[in-house]
Amino acid sequence: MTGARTREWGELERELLRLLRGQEEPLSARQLQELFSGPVPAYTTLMTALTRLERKGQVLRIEQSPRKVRFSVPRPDGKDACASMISTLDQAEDRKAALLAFAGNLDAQDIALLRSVFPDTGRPR
Amino acid sequence: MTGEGLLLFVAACAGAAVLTAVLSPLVLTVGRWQLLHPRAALTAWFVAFFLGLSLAAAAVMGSVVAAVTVSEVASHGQAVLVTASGWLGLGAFGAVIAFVATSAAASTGVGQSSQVAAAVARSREERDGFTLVRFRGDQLIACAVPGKHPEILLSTAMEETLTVSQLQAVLAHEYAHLRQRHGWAVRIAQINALCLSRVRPGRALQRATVLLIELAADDAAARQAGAAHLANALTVLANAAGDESMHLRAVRLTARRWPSAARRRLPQAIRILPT
Repeated sequence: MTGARTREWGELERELLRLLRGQEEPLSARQLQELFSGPVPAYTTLMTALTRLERKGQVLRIEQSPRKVRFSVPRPDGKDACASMISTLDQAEDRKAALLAFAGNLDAQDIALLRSVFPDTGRPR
Repeated sequence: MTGEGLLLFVAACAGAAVLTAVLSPLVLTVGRWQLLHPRAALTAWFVAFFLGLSLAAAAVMGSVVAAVTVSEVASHGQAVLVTASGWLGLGAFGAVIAFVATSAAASTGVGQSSQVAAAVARSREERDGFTLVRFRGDQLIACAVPGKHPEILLSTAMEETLTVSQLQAVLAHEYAHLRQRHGWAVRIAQINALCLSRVRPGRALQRATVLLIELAADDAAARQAGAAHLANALTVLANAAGDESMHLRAVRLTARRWPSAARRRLPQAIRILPT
């Protein structure tokens, strides 16, 4: 008998990606285990999840020797990375639902309403 | 209760629900109070929304109860009416549930975008209630990503353009989005708009929500970080991006009185140490 499920489907993989992305250096499965704050998954469970992620191309396996395997996430470099991030932000199905941005959420109708209530003394250039 | 009494109850609830949906957008947009007190206005909108929803649910329950319990009916016609209203009510209820379930599943791009941002993060800093993610980028971006692991994303360009006090105000604005659960408000309004896309009240809640959450977050930031700093940040960004809405948000801040610097308290979570 197993107890109640400790994680949602796919949550472990997401959590692993999150942890790996927060680290500069590649990590071994043991090191990853130490980073878990909630219930710590078993070593074998972690290896299974990491192998799956590797197959999906989301994780890189760095094998210095069969007993020294570490993992990292592929990082696009510099400029490309920023461009790809911004285009992904733009592609997010409905940006307003996903992200509460500081700028750019109000449309012409909102602007007209604000302008009618708060008379504008000095427009921006 | 008699069959007639129940049918009257159902009709009254359904009528009141429709009335709430039609009248609230008209009543709530009268005057300028909603722009001066966005948080109260937002609450009023959602109280009206949930009131309408409860009335509609009561109408459905009533119609089902009527169909199930009424044993004595005055006429053949009434029997047909009771049964039909019960089935119609249940059918509508089922349709709404199915629609909400599918549309909610379709709009879950949240996790992905935040993960992409994390991939190119310059630094990630765990703070109380959220993770501050600074990323390299020459666009002026600051946004809050609600969810299980809430994040506030900040581009390097934003940090370079604003002073520490101004940046603090921007951070306070994003923090208010997270604290006041604006992600949920937007999501509910969005699903409501999808369900009622053909009628005016459906869009009205969404329109009001998008505007009012921005103004409510501005108010919270003005109280915590200082209205002048927020107005300055808005003006700098309005000029840089040629965005009139931010300029008008700055003008709006001047229409109210704010706590003096001595009485402001900036939450620990959003403090930025000058570098």
